[in-house]
Amino acid sequence: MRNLPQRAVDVATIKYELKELWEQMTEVSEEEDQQALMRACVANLVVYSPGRASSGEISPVIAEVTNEQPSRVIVLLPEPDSSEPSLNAMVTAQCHPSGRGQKQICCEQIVIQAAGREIDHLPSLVRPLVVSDLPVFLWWRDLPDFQAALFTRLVQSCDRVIIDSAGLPDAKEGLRTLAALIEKRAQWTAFSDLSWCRLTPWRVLVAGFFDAPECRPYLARLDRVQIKSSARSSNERSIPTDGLLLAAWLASRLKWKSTAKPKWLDEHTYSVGVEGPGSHCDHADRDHLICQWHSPWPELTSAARGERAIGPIFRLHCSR
Amino acid sequence: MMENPLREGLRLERTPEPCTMVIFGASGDLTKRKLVPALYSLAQQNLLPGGFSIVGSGRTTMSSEDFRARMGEAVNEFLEVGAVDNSVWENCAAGMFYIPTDVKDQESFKSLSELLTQIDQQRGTSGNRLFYFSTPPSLYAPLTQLLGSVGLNRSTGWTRVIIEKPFGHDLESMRALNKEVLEVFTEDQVYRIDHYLGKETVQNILVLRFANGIFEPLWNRRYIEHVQITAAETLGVEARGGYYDQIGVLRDMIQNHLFQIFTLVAMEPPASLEANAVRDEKTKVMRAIRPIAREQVDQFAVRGQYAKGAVNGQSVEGYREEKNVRPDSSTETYAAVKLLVDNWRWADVPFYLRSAKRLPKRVTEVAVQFRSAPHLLFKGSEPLQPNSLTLRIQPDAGITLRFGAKLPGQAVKVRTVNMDFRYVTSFGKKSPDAYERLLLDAMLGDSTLFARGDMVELSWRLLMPVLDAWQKPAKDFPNYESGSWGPKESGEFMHREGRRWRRL
Repeated sequence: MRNLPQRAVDVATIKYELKELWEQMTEVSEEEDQQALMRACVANLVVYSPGRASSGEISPVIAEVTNEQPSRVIVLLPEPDSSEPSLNAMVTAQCHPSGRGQKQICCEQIVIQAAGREIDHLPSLVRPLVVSDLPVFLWWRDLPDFQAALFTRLVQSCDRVIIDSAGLPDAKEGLRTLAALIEKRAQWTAFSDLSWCRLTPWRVLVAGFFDAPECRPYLARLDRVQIKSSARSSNERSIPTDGLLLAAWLASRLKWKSTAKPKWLDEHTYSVGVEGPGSHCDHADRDHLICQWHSPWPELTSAARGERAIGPIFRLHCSR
Repeated sequence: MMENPLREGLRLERTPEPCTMVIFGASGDLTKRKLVPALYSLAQQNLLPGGFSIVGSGRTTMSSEDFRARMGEAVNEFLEVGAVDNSVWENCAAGMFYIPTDVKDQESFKSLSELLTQIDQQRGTSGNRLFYFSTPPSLYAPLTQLLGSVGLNRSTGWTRVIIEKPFGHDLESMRALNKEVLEVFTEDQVYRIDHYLGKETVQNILVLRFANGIFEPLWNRRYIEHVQITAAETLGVEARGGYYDQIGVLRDMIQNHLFQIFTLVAMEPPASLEANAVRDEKTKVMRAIRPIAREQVDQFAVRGQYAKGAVNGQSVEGYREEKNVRPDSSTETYAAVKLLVDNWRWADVPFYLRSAKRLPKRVTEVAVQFRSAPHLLFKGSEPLQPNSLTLRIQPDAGITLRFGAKLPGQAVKVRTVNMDFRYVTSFGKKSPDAYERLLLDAMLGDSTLFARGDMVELSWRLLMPVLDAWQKPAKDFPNYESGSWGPKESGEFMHREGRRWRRL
């Protein structure tokens, strides 16, 4: 690891330190007869993670990502609460053995800490530091504020933005804004939502129920879907994003249309009335999709239920 | 039946329907080393359908419990990636059964049929069945007939059969076997497996050629001088001496694996990736190969057999000293064949296919050598090697482009350099085992990566003159030392062609 002198952080210095780092590492590996090093890079990963403490949380994730996809990682650690402007940087290398007796695959990591008004300069530091002509991923580890200037400027330099909509204070409104942003930037930037990714095992599970041909007709006869989510939101009276996304997925795949204005049935239950095409349904009350939110839901822990913890807990009741 | 709308947009859009896989030869090596570990790995990735069941079968008498225990040990021993998750294994084991069968006893196949009906009822496998012949090839025909005789070639669901190589011993036996198989099953039920096609790097040949704009314009006689396809092994015949002595490397490697790779390199772009679109193009290029006349075999092929020597610093026996090998055997352990493709794309561009045992290095690769620059501008430089593009299939899979670059300094001197792409450095993720991909494809009914009957027949037809000529005892065998790059005749063969084998 090489720490750069305080207040002397500019792109040229960072690049110089990177060069020095590689030269030093190559010398050490040759002198000490270690495994040869190979510098590899298939992408740029920019991580925006407020608070110095957060670097401990992201380190193992970065190690795992770069093990599979050697990348130049640029970690931005802003401290918005600090009024004293400051800018520090350091460069390190991450090396992974590529196999028995093989070269070590190494990639570089640049960490930039910024406080006060220096935070505004982060996009201008990132742009020249990315490796040319390789995709740029932005992992935004903060409550996404889609209108904020810093977010917008960083997004403009990226090919893919990874956010987590789980923390949105108002899921409905937040997802609407996100959808508008995705549409606006469709030509330049793709978006990934970790909240949506966490639903993949659930979507695979639900889809799997209807893979067998003899089970498929029951899809047209669903009369009630109940989604329970233990996800928490900062807003007590907010629908959890994951519940809403799962309901929306079902509705879009099964071509359901909303028939009534969504409403809160009680403190915890949010209901959406829907109607599907070409129904074979013989139930009279098939117009309810209930997205039911329990918060808190302490008695349903993964251990107590013997379930695998793969994200927020849902219980699916599929009856024929 | 409509598709499952909930699958749309999910990364794994296609999932197999619940089915039962019946493995004949369940106590054999392939089952424990490859098949069951591959099935476990698929289960661990949630790629197998609910209710999926495995029925092991063979002459060995054992209970289902014994079979589960043996397979459990096999998975622990041979699983290549990660540790065995007990909960996943328990789930797999719950769907594993064993029933002894004997090709001399039709009743045993009736019992198998009853067991499969019972599994359909209990585990909801809906009559979908995948039979895997992991037995000696001599049992393929009797097994097929017995399955037909008890009505297991048809069911209320789908029925498919996977047949391991070698598919026949020569053209005549291939045709006879094909006829017997097709009397019981239709061609679209038959999956002739060639595990090379399940390798990611072999599939990448199609991606390299047809997903990139820069290679295909060069992929023809105008720019390519010749192509070398090599599968070199350091191993000898190990415990397979008796079997190998009847086969030889031409049948064991070239007729199947190397021909498959050749077709992927030489075929025209298919209209789609649909199974028959790809296989039609592969068959078309096979049809364009110039037949080798019996009297011209020496101009098109070279054979060799290893003598004692040293490989990787270890002394090793010669082929004729191996267990169960005839002391005067003329079976070839080295073979190189030149193919000429008579079509517009490849006229006068030779393809050299070579495979051997006991060479200094284990390597499988395709090397495309380009024509030299038409005019050498840089006099005084050392003779430049022509550009080449090498697709390394194993080990250390990747792609290397060789080209000339200026040596730093005042004078203009050119030196040949390599530009490397390595899978392991670009994608840390390990490629799935070939059997995982192929078993899943067979369950899905996708036969793209399996050999079609007409192509197998063509490969035998092309090699028959060579096999016939090589029936004659080889007086100079053994003719290469273990750990060398093959017989001197092979080097002379290339020298006569005005070329040389790549140094691997």
